Amino acid sequence: MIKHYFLTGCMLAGIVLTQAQTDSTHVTDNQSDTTKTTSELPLFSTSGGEAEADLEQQDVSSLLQSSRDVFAQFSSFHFGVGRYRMRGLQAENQLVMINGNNVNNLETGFSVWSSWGGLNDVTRFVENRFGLAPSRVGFSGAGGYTNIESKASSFRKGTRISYAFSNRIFRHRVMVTHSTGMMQNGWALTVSASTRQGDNVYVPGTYFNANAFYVSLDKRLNDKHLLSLTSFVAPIEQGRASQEIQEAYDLAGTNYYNSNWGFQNGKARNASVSRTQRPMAMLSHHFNINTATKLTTSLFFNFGKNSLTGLNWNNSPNPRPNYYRYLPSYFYSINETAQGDAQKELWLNDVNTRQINWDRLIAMNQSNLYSLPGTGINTSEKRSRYILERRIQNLQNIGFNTIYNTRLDNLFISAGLNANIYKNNYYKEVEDLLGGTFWLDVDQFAQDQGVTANFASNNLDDPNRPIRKDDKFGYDYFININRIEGWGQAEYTLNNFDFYGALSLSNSSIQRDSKVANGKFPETSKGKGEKKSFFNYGIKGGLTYKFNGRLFATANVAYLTRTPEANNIFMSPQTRSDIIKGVSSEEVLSYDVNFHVKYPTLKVRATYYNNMINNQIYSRGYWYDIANTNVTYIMTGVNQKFEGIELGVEKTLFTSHVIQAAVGISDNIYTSRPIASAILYNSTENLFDNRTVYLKNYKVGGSPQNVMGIGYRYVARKFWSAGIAFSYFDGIYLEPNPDRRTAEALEKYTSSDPQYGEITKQDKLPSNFTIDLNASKSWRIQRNYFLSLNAGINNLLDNTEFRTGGFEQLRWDNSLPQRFPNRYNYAFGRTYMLSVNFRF
Amino acid sequence: MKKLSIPLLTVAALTAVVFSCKKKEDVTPTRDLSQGKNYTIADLNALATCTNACEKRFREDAYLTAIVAADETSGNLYEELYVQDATGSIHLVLTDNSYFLIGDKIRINLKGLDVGKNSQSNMIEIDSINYEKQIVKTDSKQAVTITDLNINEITSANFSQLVRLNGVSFIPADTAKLWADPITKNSVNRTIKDCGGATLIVRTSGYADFAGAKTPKGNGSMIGIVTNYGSTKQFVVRNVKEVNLNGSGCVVYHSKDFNDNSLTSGGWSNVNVTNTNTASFWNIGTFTTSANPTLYAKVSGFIGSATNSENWLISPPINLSTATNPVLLFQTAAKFAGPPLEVKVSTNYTSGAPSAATWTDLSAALSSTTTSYVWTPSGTISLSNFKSTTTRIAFKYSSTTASASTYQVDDVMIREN
Repeated sequence: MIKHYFLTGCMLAGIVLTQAQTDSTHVTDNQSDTTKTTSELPLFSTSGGEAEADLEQQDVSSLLQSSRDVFAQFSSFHFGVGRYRMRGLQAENQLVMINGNNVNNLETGFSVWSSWGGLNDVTRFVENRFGLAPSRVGFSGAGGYTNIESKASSFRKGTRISYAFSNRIFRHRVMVTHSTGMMQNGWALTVSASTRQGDNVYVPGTYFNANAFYVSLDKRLNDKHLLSLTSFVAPIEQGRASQEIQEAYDLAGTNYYNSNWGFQNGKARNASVSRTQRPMAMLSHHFNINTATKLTTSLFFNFGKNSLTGLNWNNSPNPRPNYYRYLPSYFYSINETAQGDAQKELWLNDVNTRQINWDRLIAMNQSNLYSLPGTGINTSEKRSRYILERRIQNLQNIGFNTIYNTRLDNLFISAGLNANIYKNNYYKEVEDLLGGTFWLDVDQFAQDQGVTANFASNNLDDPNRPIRKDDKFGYDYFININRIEGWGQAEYTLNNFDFYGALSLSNSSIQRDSKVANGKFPETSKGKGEKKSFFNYGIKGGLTYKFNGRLFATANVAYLTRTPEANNIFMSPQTRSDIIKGVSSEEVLSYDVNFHVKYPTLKVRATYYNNMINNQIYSRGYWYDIANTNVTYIMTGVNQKFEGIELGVEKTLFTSHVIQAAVGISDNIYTSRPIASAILYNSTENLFDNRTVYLKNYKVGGSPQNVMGIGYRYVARKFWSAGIAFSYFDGIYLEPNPDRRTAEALEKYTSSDPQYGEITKQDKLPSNFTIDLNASKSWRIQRNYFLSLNAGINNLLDNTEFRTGGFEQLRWDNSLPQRFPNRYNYAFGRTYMLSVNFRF
Repeated sequence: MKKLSIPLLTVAALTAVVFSCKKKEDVTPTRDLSQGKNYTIADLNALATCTNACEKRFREDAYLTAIVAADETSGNLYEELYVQDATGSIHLVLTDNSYFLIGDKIRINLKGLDVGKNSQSNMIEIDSINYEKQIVKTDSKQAVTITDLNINEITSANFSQLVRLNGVSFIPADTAKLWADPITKNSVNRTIKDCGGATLIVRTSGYADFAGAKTPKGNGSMIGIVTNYGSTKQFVVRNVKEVNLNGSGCVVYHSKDFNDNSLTSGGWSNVNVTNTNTASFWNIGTFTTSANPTLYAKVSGFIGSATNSENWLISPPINLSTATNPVLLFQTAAKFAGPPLEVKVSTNYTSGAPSAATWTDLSAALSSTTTSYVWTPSGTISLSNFKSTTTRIAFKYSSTTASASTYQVDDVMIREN
């Protein structure tokens, strides 16, 4: 009997594990890398925040696969293909911890998933609650919390080996984990290693090369004290996919066209490679003061580099194949029909037009004989016109954390204190000179505007230094954040009522410290800038009313303030320390009402929720066509509301048939008219200030607003199961470009002009559905060996027309709005994963 | 399960509340066109030419809506457009190359712009339009009017107008030559002439996509914009595909210019119906002026005093049976009030009294009798309904004792249009 349940549990765990796709989904290329005309000097810029957020962000769905909540579980297994975010909330709203240590990034607020990618075996013990809830390990907000318990003594003795084969992100995955369990001598050791590999697995030109290593060593000193050291690193190198306009997909003949790669010497090479290697280590002390009280104290270390490569160029044609002037539509728009037709033919037939022509970039570099500045004629040097650079964030984060939990009759008290010293060094290095011998580190646009000779220089201390491979250049600054938080919570349980209250007080100070002086801002770029402090507080409370043992209702409310995203408070973090005037904390007000039904064969949760996130800052750097210059576009006073209902139902019939249904209807909208300004990267005068952006009631993009799913699973007695799920996605909107909704930018139009609707209407993508299948079987061999097989197919009907999102390009032409159309990304077609797990 | 229904109903109610008021997307405020005055091209032309201290600069929002008649696609036009509306045509000079196409309906905000006459070209234009800021395209593929004109009908009222010239060919010196100079990019003037002998300069830019092509040999029609430089009228082709000079030459069925000092040569006859005084007959006029330096036919019923007379000048029979679109052209100059000259056509007149045959009136532009001998082209008068082997035209002069004009007629031509 016990065996039966145990095996079912193992099987289900097996299913959970194999479908725990913790790898990043096909990531997006940021689009702010825009350039001017080919004859003029281009600027390579990227809003670093977007790219790096991509590296680190993971959709919340994967975090919730261990959740027992029906809606969260269904959502994590089946709604991920549509890039659904629970309640439309960004990951910064969810508190993610490992062993009680907060691992949300202090700059962005997002949780750094990739840091433990591939360590499924040792990150499977998760305590997770979505939504407002009391948390005994920290102060959580609207997105709830996830605490991954991962220490050697939590794992039972044994070894697990698994192999998986897939066509989604990786092709092969091998994971091996061994635990000694808590041994007689008080030591416990767990080691885990995994590798995930794949080339061109689904999207052409991409590759995935990931490894992971984990060691955890526990020592139980006595009944009361346990010391635990957990450390791991998950290096990932990934050649990424891109997001394109529909014209490019059509010309390339596939909705998975990737503009990031091309042929070099006959071999495919991807220009957008992300690498991450950020080890984490936690040393914690678990002190059971008595049976009702526990004190956990940890020291936390997280350090290492994230980097993203990209092309940079100087005084040369744009090397990217999807540059708007290389598409036939550009020629048609200027009435050059013959040239448009010719360009279309090239796109259809010539791979070097569709993809990056690396050989040509190298040839151009190799023929650019150029003497080093100030050295006279020296024709052995070649100045690179094109390079591949890598933008690096080198992080050091040290944290201290202590959590106190105690039970006093009906009261449960939790309190904690944590502090972090966070330093993130932003700089660039040359990855590849592409056939040249040096690169000159000058700012292209400033070259035209210089008043002093060194205005264009990115490093006043050494302005004409030739940059060689692996040299640092461009910028070199730190974002330093010091944070301290104290929190407390009390939970009170009565017969019919439970209620709780929690409070958090924290302070963050942010400062930029640059190691190089920039020619444009000789006074304000080098050295430490203003230290900006944010004092934040949070109050949360809720109550549960139990109608009976099966039915209960909960209501929660929370108000908290939080530090804005660190990079967004600076006007132009790459070139100067100036902070936006009047910047202050974001405010989040949340409340929800839930009804729960819990019978053995019926589980229901119905929820109404409302989250209002106000006073956010939006910041993007890109080429501003209307004024012909590069700007940082900043909006302050961005308010959003995420309101909706959720319904999750799970019914078990005749023991073996399980039916699940999940419905989420939401209204995620902007609720304010933010104020926008455009900061020139090379001047203290702003291009414009105080423009009202008419964004009220526009939908927040990036996630379908409405989802509906229904699933059926058969759980057989002989340790096998099979299931099918149908998911429907609706209300998919593209995040609006704010500049398109200002009176100043639309000045020449009247509302009856055809362009007005084209420019202001928000793009809504068509609704879609997918079908998933899964099956698993497990065996017990000779008492001690367990083998399980799992198979899953996503998007059974191979729907390759499912646009899951995209964005409105920030660069736009207000005379010809169709010149920079929206970029889209498509959900993968039919994908599968087969895995074999062996445990003993 | 009863306990379930309460929470579920509440949730359903909340859903209804949340989603019943579906808010509308924010509306970005834009221009209110009713705040600005609308101008037609006729209004602008009047403004440009008025001399009464009138303001030629627009200081407030003001709009012109027009259709593009000639665009920059061929490269023959550069940073300019010619547009038309129901009241006329005008030249727009831009600060940059535009992408507008023939047939695009555009709205121009005139605020900050001037309308005036260009001192070199003497054409009315609006200058320095930043089209990205000031022009909005509201529609495309609209109907564009092409006016048929003869070269000698072109006046300053036709500047910037989209015109089709018929029956023209390049003069021999400009036939089979390059339209312009594609190497030096210089513009070149070539001359065309029509069947009446009138000439016009066709100017082509070295940047036009047909600059390196050769001018065709042949007669036919071409479409373009009437322009001007100084005191010389010019013609600018908007698309070389609209130059159809593949006919075999001016097909002239009959012409009479009276320069041989003979009224009747070629078979013409003077038939007088009343008034036997030969002084009232049609004869050759010899008083030449710079406006018409050649001989002509003239008639007058004023002999000492106005008399009753009716005198016909009848052409020989002309074979129009193979003609496609035959037209009649002539010039008249008149003075003194009197019954107007009548122009008639017949297919069955043989000889003798005109009343024996069937004559149909033709409508023609005639010289005014209130001015003094202003030579006036008749315009093309279609004879398509009178294609026979024996078509004759006639000029019928009448006078009474009350009034008698003097009419002069010259350059009579019946040709293919």
